[in-house]
Amino acid sequence: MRWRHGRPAVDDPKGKGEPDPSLALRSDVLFRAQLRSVHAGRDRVFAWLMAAQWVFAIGLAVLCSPQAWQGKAPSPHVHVYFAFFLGAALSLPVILLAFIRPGSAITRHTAAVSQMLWSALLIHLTGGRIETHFHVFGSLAFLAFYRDWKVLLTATVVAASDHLVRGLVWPESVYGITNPEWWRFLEHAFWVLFEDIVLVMGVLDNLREMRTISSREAEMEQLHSRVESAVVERTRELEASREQYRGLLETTRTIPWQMDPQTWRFTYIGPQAASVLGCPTESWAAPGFFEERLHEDDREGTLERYRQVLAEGTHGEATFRLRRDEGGWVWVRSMISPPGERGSAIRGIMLDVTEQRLLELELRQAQKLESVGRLASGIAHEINTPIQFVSDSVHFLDEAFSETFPLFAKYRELRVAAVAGPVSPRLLAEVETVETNADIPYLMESVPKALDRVVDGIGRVATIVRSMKEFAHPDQREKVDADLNSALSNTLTIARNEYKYVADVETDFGEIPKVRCYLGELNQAFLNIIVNAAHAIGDVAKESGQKGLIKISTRRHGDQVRITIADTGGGIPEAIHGKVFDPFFTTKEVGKGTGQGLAIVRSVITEKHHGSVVFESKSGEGTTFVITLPIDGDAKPVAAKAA
Amino acid sequence: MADTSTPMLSPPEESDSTPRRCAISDSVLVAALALWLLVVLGAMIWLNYYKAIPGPGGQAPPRWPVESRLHRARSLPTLILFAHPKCPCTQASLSELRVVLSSLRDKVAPEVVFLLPNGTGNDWRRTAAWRTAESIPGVHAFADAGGVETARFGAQVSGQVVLYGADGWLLFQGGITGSRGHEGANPGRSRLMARLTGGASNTETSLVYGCGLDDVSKRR
Repeated sequence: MRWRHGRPAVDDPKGKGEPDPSLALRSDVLFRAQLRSVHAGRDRVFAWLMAAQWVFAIGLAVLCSPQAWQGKAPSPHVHVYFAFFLGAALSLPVILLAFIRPGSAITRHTAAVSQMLWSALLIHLTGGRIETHFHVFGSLAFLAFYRDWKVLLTATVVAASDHLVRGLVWPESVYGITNPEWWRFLEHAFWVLFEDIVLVMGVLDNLREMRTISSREAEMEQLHSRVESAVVERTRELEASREQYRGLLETTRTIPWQMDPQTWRFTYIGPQAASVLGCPTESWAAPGFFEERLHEDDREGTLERYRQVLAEGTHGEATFRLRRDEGGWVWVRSMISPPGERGSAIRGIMLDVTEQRLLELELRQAQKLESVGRLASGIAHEINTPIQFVSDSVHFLDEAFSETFPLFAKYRELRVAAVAGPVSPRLLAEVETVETNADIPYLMESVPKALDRVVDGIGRVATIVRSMKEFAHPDQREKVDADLNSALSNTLTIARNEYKYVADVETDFGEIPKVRCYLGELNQAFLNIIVNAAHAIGDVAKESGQKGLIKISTRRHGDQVRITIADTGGGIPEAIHGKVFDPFFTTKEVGKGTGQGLAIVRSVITEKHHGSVVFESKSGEGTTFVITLPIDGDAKPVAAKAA
Repeated sequence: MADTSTPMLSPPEESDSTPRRCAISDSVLVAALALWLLVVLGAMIWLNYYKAIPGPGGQAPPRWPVESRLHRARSLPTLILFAHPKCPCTQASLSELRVVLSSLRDKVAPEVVFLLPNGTGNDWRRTAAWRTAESIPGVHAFADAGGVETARFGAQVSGQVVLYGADGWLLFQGGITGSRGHEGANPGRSRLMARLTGGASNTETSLVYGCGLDDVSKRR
């Protein structure tokens, strides 16, 4: 910035010799506005001064020269009249102009004339006291506040004219002598001019400062305007970016949300939410909406999950059901993020996973069917063996009875003959022959054994059928109290053909209470782990030729039941510990596994029963799965993980 | 960057500092102010004229009246200022007396004679003029009950000054202010001082401005 005679070079803001006419023009506009403001302000000051002088003059006249006297006779002094009427004549026009023409030149020049005449009047009222003459100089200083040297000129002309005219007409009233020199008025005017020079210099300095300030203000305005434009531009870009982001966020199927964890009230919900439950987004923001819409079975676990995210400050996930307006439930998976550094709200996205859940159910059903299908041949084999020896025994019994029927006929003939009279020896010989042929001792020894085998075989078939029936427990809508020891036994029966050639089973069922659960789904989970254990042992047994061991135990731990299923298979490589519960992850050869087994285990145990499933595995030593289930079916949710 | 020059050129917003134009046109206003100027100037001229109207000149005896009860100095000229205790204009005369005495105190015996008309009370003795007179060093205030001395010396206007020489002859009579109740250098004061300092040889006179001392007089 260059400065020129105390005035900034506003016409060349860049210092490159390129004038900026708009800046100079704006500076001039501001300067004039400021000057106009100063003039109007000084007009108000002079309005007050005029009023004050008027009051002062009246007071002065009343106090100092209230009356003129002629002997004992008083009369009002002419000073009183002049103070009132001439004072009014001098003051009121200036006061009036200050209101109707503030800031105009005519107002301040009128004030200048009036003020100088006020000096003359006050000099009269104070009896020509020399001290009152200082009013002239004080008035000039006051007038200089207008920052307009022309006003000082007007006042000076009035003062000089007064002296000139009175000096010519009535010199002794001004100079105290009757024949002053013609230039005497110049002497008086000189001192006024002397003060004028000082005041005009001050006025010009003030004007220069005002121009400087105006220039700076214009530059500040320009800078501010540029900054404001930049801000507007950035805001527009930000808004566009925000709209783009919002569009991106709100047009996808994921529903962004924000929630006050103290009240569980949604403070923001994406517009997609309206179609999920069939109610407007405003409804989502209502207090209590979330809790009220949560499925009863999911409510406590879901809210606890949210609390956990809030307390731990880590990201989390929850899957729950929300009630639709027109009835029915929507499965929602919510990804939860803890509050950021600023704010206390938790936020995240929700996704309608109802279709996915249906597909999962179908997949689970398919997996169950696949299990059943895969087990069917084994189960058929298990049934076939007892049926085979039942059949053999029945055939034996059939032959035995066929052979004993002639004996029964000879016995009937012998009884009839005995009733009629003495029995002939021939008849007795024939009976003996038939008995010998029937081999009664053999039958008496073998038939009971055959019957035992039949009973045993039918019992074994009945057990398998019952186990299948238990295993294939229809899907329940509500949890039931179930004996998990019995459930595990049934599952072992069903899966027997999977493991019996490669492993022995050792059960250690403890005293456990009935557990509130979805039994069919738990059976599926147990089966998946047992089959996996059998397959793992099978892989080892194929090489070693030795049978492995599956150990199953149940224990109660407080309000939980812990089920341990351990195998002596090859174990799970540590590298895939984090993936075994992932859907569609499998290490089995094609056609032997779908990768759904442990994913279903995790889903059933953790999501449906709020339990936990962990495993411990050492390569080459086997794997132990530990399932923990809440007895009341409603414990705190915990994740599935490797131990 | 957006162009910012246009908004910068916009006029400043209306504010209290912006002049509020009224319906009166400039020409009417100028005419009214010209008339106003004539009126106030006329009033000022009339005020000056009024204050320059002198009172009736008194006629003091050419020699000191022997029957006077006032004290006459034998070795110095005696100066007597006749004053109305309640006349505001007399303050100017007393001020001028103070000026005169400030330089010629040892050359004159001053006395201020205050008129106390018959029937007036003490309030005529407790006036500002009385206090001013007594505050002037060397001045003696004399209460002229009934205006006997005032009449004896022919004073008709407050502020009338008479100066008698040590020999009893009248040296000066008249006022020592330039106008009614107006301080400052004036011909009367100059002549008085000239007479005291020997700058003049004849009896000097000057116009007197002030309140009337004579009840009978219709003039002021």
